[in-house]
Amino acid sequence: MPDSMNRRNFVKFASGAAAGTALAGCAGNGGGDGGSGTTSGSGGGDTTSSSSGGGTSDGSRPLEWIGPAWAVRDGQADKFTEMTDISVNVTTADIPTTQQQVLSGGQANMDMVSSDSPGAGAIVQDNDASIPVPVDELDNWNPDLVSDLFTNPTERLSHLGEQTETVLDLLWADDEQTEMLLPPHVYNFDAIGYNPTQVDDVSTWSALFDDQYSGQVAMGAVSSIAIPETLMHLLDNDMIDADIGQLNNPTEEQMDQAVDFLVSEKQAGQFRSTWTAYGTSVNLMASEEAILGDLWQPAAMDVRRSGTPCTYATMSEGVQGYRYWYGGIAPLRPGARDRNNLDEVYSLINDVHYGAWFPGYIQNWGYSVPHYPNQELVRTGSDESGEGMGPEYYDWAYEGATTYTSISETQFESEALFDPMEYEWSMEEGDSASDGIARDSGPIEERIDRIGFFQIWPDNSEYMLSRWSDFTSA
Amino acid sequence: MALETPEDTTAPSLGERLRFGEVQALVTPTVLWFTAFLLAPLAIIAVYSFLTYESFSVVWEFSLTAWESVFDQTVYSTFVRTLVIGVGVTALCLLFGYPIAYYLRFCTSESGGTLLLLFLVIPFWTSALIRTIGWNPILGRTGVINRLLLWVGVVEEPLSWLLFSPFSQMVGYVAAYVVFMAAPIFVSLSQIDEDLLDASETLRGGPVATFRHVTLPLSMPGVTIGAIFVFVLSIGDFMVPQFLSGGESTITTLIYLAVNNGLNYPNAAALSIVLLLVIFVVVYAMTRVVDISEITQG
Repeated sequence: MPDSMNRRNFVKFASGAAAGTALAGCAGNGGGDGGSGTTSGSGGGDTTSSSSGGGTSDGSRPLEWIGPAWAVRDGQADKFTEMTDISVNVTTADIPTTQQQVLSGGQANMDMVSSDSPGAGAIVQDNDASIPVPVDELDNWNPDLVSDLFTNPTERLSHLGEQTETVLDLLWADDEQTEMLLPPHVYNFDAIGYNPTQVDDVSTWSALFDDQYSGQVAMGAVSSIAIPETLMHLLDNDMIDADIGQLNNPTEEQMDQAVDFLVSEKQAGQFRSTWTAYGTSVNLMASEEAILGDLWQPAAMDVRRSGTPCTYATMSEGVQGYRYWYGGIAPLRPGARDRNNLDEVYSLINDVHYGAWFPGYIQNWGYSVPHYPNQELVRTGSDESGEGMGPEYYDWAYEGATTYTSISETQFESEALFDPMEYEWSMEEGDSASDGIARDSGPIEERIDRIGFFQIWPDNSEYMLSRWSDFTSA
Repeated sequence: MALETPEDTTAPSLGERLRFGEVQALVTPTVLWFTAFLLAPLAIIAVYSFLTYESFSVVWEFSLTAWESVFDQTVYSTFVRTLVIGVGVTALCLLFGYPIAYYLRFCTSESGGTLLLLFLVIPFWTSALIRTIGWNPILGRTGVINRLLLWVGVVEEPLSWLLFSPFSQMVGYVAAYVVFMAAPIFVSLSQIDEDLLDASETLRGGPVATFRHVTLPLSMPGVTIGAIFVFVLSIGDFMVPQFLSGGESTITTLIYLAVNNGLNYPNAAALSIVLLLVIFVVVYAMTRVVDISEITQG
């Protein structure tokens, strides 16, 4: 990419380049390495490009992006292509496979990786496989208009004690917050999903171990998640000696206590089954084999889409609060730089994921975005990426407001079957219906207040895994 | 007419073939194939088992840590469970597979038996994952069997033990592997000279005596090959323990866990080698008891 062009004018330039190419009737010949584009000016028809496949810079094409399906959806890649005319090859894999592919050579021949916070440590911290992203390259990252969940977790999540340090360690490359190790694009506050026809309201992780649900619990079998969930229950019930600051990075002794407890619960028949694959958790709930479990929110949505009611719990304040994690996009070292695609990665992060279109797109799966406080953009605004969420959807997703339409006037039989993808959201201001449908788990600020745990890969991971085999073998 | 000498009609001896390089030509591709795709990967796995693991990466430093973990009590008990499952599944498959093979051999026509045997293979046109998960809507609490039992009034509550239990595991294993038992037994039974059965009858051997003293001994090569197939496949199975057990792992699950949680390749490599050795010992012992080459001799 020429020096005269930075990420700030990249999309404008790319759009102009695409238009210029189309007008000149010389659309790219597809595939190849993109050639070496020559450019002049921006935004107008005087831009020329010899890039193949419609690319506008001299980087290798297509862009290579790897990550789990929930973070790397085709819609996001398509939006980037629509905005820049640069093709993106998406490789979806679960987190371990993503780590495996990146660390076994992918970091050299791919441009960017997406991962959740516990999976990202291996790439952006432990193995130096990514390039920190300067916030100066991200126009839409305005600290005043980004949730303080990211800019100032120490104060916003002060109730988490030492855990806030792990938020800062994973997110920021420096104390001055000039570079991000893993720029966030989605996050959520995981909770318990339950079938409201068979379970009364639950608001604590203790429900997973409640005798009245014996044999009907779908228990996640990922050690870095299940152990802290158990610790929250044990800590809240004075069954271990710990404090909330240690929950996401427990000692070996605390791990022992959690695993021993889980083994005893498993042997007592508390769990209907354990799950590691997303689809398994959906099947367990959709087939009513299980009536509650530590689900992901998209899984709860998919349970509803299968016709089984599912409510995502509003968790309590304090020790048994939400399980918070975030997913991000990081340029790979040396791939993004060697393939001359660093600016394109910045553009993908900023223009697509910090733009107006993405918040509404990803909320369909229940996920939130860091720049939701930028209401002028996210709620009622628009930009090159598209329209914002609109007032009704935004207020429903972030403010805890009900829909403008009464539930009786929708096709949904109950709130536990509501699907935001199927509802027609108004783009105009309106009034919330008194018997409208509210989002599970409440307003986002309340959800943040109720975070109990930030999900990371703990320091004692080797010990954790050695003990975890005891649970899986039990 | 000229008389041909015996030498003219005799096939070249092994020595003559060697001279022409025929054996080398035939063997070399196989040797290369096994070297490239079996021995070399095994050697790599063996090397990895002696390397050092650090957070999500393997360091090229010698270490016995992975092998120490193999002797952990959890791994030991999981191995025992895996072997018990292997033996149990093999026995169940023999219990169901032998009558199937017997029926196909003696109660249908020759072509009919072969056709029916092929029908047993039809489920394998779908993936193992689908075949395994396919038991959920049959055995689940809201599945076909429970709905039927509730409708008939045999039970008042859905039976939970049908799924995510040892029962569902065994159903999954037997459905997946019974054909691997039935097919070699069928082949073995097909090669029994019917004159032997007639001779037994002539000597006043009843059906039970004939089966016990003629049919069964002559079918043992097929039984052994079937047992080897089923045992090896079942203890290496990943789908059934993962999707039908309710969470009780076997050794394959531990291997998966080692890789899937932290990319601990040395641990996974050590476990894999031990599993391979166990399989080798069992197969070797079985082939020492029964000469399976008899099945090829007709």
